[in-house]
Amino acid sequence: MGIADFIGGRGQAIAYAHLSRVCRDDDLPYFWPHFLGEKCETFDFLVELVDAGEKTPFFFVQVKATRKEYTRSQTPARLRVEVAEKDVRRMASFPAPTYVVGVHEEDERAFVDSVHGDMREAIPSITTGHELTNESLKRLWDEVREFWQARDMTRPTSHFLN
Amino acid sequence: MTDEAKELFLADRVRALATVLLTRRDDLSIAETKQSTGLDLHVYIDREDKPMRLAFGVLLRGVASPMTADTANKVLGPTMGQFQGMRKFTYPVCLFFFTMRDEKAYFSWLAEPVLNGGAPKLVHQSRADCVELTDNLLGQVVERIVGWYDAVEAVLIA
Repeated sequence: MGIADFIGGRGQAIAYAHLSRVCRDDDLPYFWPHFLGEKCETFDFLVELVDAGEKTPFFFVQVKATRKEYTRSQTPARLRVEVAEKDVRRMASFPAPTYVVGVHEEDERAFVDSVHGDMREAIPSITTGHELTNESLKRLWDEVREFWQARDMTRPTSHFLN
Repeated sequence: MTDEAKELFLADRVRALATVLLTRRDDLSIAETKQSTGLDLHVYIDREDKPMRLAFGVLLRGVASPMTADTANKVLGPTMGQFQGMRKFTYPVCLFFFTMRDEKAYFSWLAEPVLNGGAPKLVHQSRADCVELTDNLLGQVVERIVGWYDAVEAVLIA
């Protein structure tokens, strides 16, 4: 299998490196991303939360990478990556937390942006206000964990019993 | 996280870190690697003016805790043993070793390209000799490999 089967391109590798940073006191990461491959149209990673309880919470990520300069007129500056309308609609309607991770390939910085609720329009750029740092990784971990804790997804039974 | 999961996670993460490092250079492309080679990555050096395909292999390893180069050399003992058990390589091979906590990277030759009186040889190392893997060092490694292939070309290509 080629490297692209495991990690995608440079942008995905940078996003992976940031998301999987080992920054907890117990020498563990907050997240374990799994590359979904070229066949998954909307998402690049399924991301599991590490050591978040009996059931493993997760979320989905689409990575958008660029080498363009950040915008200059806004504060905080914005990363010039676009998310198409059809992707926004698909992501927002997904029954799990979904995020865009924007990556600046030269600077190797990554920024997270949520796609949720009744968002429907294309995203022309993303804020650099939520850079993936040790603090924001923890905040993201808490957010996703709280989402799943508020929902009991246990299936008591199934038609397809053994 | 179970111990098994930690190992799998570590393998995934070192692969991502190696990809980030290698793709900083436009002249390197990471290629398909068969598990049977025993290596984790193969990297091609893009030199359009050269008649030969310039490739080198990479073995990836990592640990969670920070460590010095000397400690890394000791920790890599079993890996070097594994490498010695593999068949000899006919192209340069190196090791990238990552420490997760402090995000450091180390480099050590495994099948080191040398020139013996101008003749190309590969020295299969039995011990790790880690140095910090910086962009600068990677540049020197690439140039050394290119120089070695120049010598190979002189011997091999009629």
